[in-house]
Amino acid sequence: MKNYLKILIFLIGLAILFEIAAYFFIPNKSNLREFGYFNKTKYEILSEPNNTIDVAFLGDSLVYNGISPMYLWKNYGFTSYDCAGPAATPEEVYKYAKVLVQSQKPKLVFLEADVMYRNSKSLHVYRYKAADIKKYFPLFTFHNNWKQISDDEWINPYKGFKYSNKVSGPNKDIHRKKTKKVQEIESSNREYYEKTIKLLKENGIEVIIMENPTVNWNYRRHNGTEKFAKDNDVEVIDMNVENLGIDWEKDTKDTGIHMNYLGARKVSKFLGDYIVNKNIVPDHRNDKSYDNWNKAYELYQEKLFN
Amino acid sequence: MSYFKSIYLFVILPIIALIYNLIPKKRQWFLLLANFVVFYIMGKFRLIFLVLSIISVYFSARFIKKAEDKKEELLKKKDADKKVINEKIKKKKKLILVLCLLFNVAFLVVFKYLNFFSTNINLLLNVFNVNYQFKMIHLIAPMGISFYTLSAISYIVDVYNGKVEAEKSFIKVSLFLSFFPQIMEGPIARFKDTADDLYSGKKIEHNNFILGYQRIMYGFFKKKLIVDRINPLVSSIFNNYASYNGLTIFMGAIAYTVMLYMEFSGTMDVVVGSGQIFGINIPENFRQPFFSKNVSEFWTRWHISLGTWFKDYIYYPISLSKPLKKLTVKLRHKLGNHYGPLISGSIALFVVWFLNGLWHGAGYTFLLFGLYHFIMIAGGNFMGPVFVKLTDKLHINRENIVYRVLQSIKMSLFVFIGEMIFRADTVKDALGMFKGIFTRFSFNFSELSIMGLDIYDYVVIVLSVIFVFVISLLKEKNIDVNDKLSKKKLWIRWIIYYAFILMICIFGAYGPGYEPLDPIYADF
Repeated sequence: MKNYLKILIFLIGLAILFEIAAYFFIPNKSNLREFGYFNKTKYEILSEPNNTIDVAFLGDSLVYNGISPMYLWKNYGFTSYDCAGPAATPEEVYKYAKVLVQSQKPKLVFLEADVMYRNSKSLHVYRYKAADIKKYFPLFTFHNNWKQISDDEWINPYKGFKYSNKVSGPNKDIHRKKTKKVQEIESSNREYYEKTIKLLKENGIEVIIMENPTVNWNYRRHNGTEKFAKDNDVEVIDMNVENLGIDWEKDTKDTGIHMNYLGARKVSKFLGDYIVNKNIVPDHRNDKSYDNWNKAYELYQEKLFN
Repeated sequence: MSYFKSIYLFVILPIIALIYNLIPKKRQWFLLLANFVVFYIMGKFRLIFLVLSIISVYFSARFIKKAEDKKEELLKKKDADKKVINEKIKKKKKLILVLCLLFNVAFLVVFKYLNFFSTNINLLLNVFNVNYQFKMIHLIAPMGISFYTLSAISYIVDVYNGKVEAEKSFIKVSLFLSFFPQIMEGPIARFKDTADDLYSGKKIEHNNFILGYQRIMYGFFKKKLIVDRINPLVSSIFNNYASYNGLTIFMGAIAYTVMLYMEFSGTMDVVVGSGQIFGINIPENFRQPFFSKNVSEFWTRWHISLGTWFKDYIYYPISLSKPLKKLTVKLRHKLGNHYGPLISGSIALFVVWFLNGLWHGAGYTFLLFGLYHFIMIAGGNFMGPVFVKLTDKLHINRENIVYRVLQSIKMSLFVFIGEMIFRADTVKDALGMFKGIFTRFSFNFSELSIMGLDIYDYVVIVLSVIFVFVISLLKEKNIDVNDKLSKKKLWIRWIIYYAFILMICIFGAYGPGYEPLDPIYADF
């Protein structure tokens, strides 16, 4: 019994130490008081200085695997951020949206439709939530900042994007049958998404529903999303029906479910063109106050060439 | 799945240990169950093949024992013809052994070598204008098959040779072949090493628990600070060697060797540590290999369990076989006592290295890797006496520290080249890199910065390697830091633990921008 107690005390000591150490690596401490210690890990966008993000992408893993904010910066000059978590539920997206409007003033927010079709009570979702325990230890998220410890402002070259160079194509035929059937959206899921849209609109943000390319997509979902968008009077783009030139064998990292870096470039290019055509986002590339984004791009490039 | 996953090290392993300790008796049953739970979580296990292996060796061993018993019984009879009985039983035993070996090796061949063989046969058929091609079948090999098959073979051969008693308990044999820390990457255990401890179901001792976790953290350190950080450098050099200067390519060979050593020995730290928690002495697979005098010694200190397996079950049976014995006698007459046996020994050595290469994978780079080591070791054996004479003539003290260091450096250079062949994608690449080292002998500092590593990464890698070097040096001098640490006062230990864990958490290469390297040896 004494030994069990010893181990327990050791672990508690370790946890306290982790929290203390993490403080030194947490970026953008200015909003620490406002949002709290643990939210800084949960909502990565809080690492960015306030009111610097033009476009935000809300959703699940399809978002952080498919959209590269650094690619968008380099080619279009607006700032953006992937505000997404693995197997995110509509409730979580809503919470993220709340944090987003408190810390940033984006012009445009994209909402991933995939989230609406998630069974929030499935084992799959719980598994990810269990892994979320990591978020209570910000050290594990921010430890890499030790390299920038002497710099004035720390740069995160990913902006929520998860880079992967793995290649693994789908092992099934991705031919999709057209249908008029409509997939129903669970009522609580629908409610949270409607609340999210309302919140964003109230903050003067244009909302667009998007569907990132994935093998899990089908026409029933497409129809369901179209209907939802119409009901809520928002635009919708489905990148599964648009011609992005995705090569399913080469551009995905795990049997077609998520994009790898090659796929992400195609998705990002499509979205970049789409956003720029709206003429509501500025080009900051030559703006001195956005110099950190150029530095971030350099870091991002360095990482990519391996 | 890798043993370095946090979920294994900090959730699954402690939970298994806790439940194991809380169970009042028959803990061995729980351990067996735990194996299956871990396999299930790790996935891709294809348990059925492991179960078939276990069943086959268990019953074959029992049948061999039965035959032995029958022999004793028959011999007791008064009118027994000893010779006939012995012959008959021997034949029977041999038949059982051969069938069991074939059964187990067949899985290995089908899963690992079928495509390699069919590709080559198809090429041959093409050459001879035969209009037939074997179809390629893509099979996913069950995890750990290369390791547990060798353990299974060692058990049945030992039973056949009377070195090990055929085990009555099916549970014990199952535990021996399926212990979860060992199943994926070895060490290739022998029955007498671990079976008794596994079956005893002893309660966990606090000191073992501490020693075990200390060892595990040391392995975790190697993986997080060195392996995952150096990986981008290795892959960028090996993937585009043609665009780099000779010294950079050579640096890639060194970096890969360091990475391979840290990854595999780090995994073994986790494996041995996991065993230690349960009071099971899993044999060591590494003994400071880079302090070896020559390549031959290196291979007695690197992946030890594979080396001893080849020695016991390939090298000796071949060199002690009748035809080779005859040859030895003949050559001894003609070439003398040194070179005579050496030549016949080299034949066995060649088979060992051919199979060693093949064991690592079905590919020509692995065969070349085996051939390279055969040449290095056989060459060393032949040149050894010449060197001894030479140093004596020059009055060089072979125990001198400078001489020893130079020896180890020379040995390491040979090893770097060997591992470069091992890692290269094709034989053409291996030869291209080798050529590149000597023909483009220059170095450009700027090449270092475009490989995904910055100055901070290099600093962390170099300091960590020095740390491992110092620990190894102490071990070489019989000072076991792990053991010493566990005997320190509680508060000193805790300060060291906290500092070490924090160091791994801060300077480890994980999180955004890092992709952990998949286990290298689990694929073999």
